[in-house]
Amino acid sequence: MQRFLCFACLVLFLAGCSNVPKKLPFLQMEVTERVLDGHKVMDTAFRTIPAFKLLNQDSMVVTEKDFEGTIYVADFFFTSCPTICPVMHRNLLKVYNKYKGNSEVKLASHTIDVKYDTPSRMKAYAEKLGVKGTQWEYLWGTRDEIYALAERNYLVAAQEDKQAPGGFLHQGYLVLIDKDKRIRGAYDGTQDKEVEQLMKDMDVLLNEYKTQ
Amino acid sequence: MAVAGMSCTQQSKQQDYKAVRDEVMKFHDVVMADHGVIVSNQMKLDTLLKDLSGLKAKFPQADTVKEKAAITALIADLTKAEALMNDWMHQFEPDVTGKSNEAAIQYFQDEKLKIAAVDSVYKKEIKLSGAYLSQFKK
Repeated sequence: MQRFLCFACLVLFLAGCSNVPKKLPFLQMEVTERVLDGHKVMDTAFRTIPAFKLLNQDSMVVTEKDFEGTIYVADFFFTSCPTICPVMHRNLLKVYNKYKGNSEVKLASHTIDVKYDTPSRMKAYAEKLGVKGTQWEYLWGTRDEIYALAERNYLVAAQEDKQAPGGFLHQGYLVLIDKDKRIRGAYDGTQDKEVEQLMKDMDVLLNEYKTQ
Repeated sequence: MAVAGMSCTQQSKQQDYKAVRDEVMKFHDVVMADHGVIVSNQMKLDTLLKDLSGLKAKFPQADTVKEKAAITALIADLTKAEALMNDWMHQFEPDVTGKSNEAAIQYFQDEKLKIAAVDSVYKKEIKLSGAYLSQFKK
């Protein structure tokens, strides 16, 4: 009888679980513990993408405010890169086409060749890919701004998630950011399967906001 | 001799430019991992240069005039090194339209040599700047 009850509880528990909407993990979550009035207190903090001011392919200023109310996918690239970037952007084009016109989704590709990839060169690059408008922003800034954003913010998650040594800036990572600027996923943009997973996770993330 | 010559010709006829192009691409990707280190070391040196008084406070034996000159020279060398791979990417043409298989093979073999040259400069500059930065625990 006791065994049956345990089994029934397990079935009920699993049935309950299946109704709970899936949530994505937080890649940069820090839980700290401190003692307050003799009691242990836990505090959870999320590292978020800081404020930025960059130029896009139309030479318009783009800041974090342009991503308010949207989830977005960020990456780092060179327009002239012959290897990883074309593969990554062909894959990102699938993401763009799936969410085209969805005001809750944006893409942010940051150039790491700031001397050569001027906004006009990025505009030509975007047009060649068939990208119109600014749902997919091609972002330009000073080298220090871009590297700081990459190494201290977006790609920290990729490094922690993949446990691989250096060179992350040129490894084609796609980083998923939620509407609260928190990092929710890092994917290898050169791998079809990972890009499929990214799109599934984007649906989960969009759904999180619907069920809130 | 004639047999050896014939086998060489056959070998080059059989070789596909795509295989050589792939080698170039793979080599480029390997060297690009160091590209990040080249830029990262420039940024660390920039930070040191902006706060020489802080450096002096932490390392009293440092001669800031001497260190300023050394940092400036290292940044200049790293900047030149960084430009090498960027320049290579800007001029590299993976499209072989209008080239014969042999001409394409020759082109990609020459490009591989150019990347090898960039690679050796990268390694040298990373070693020099890394050694300098490690003195100041950076």
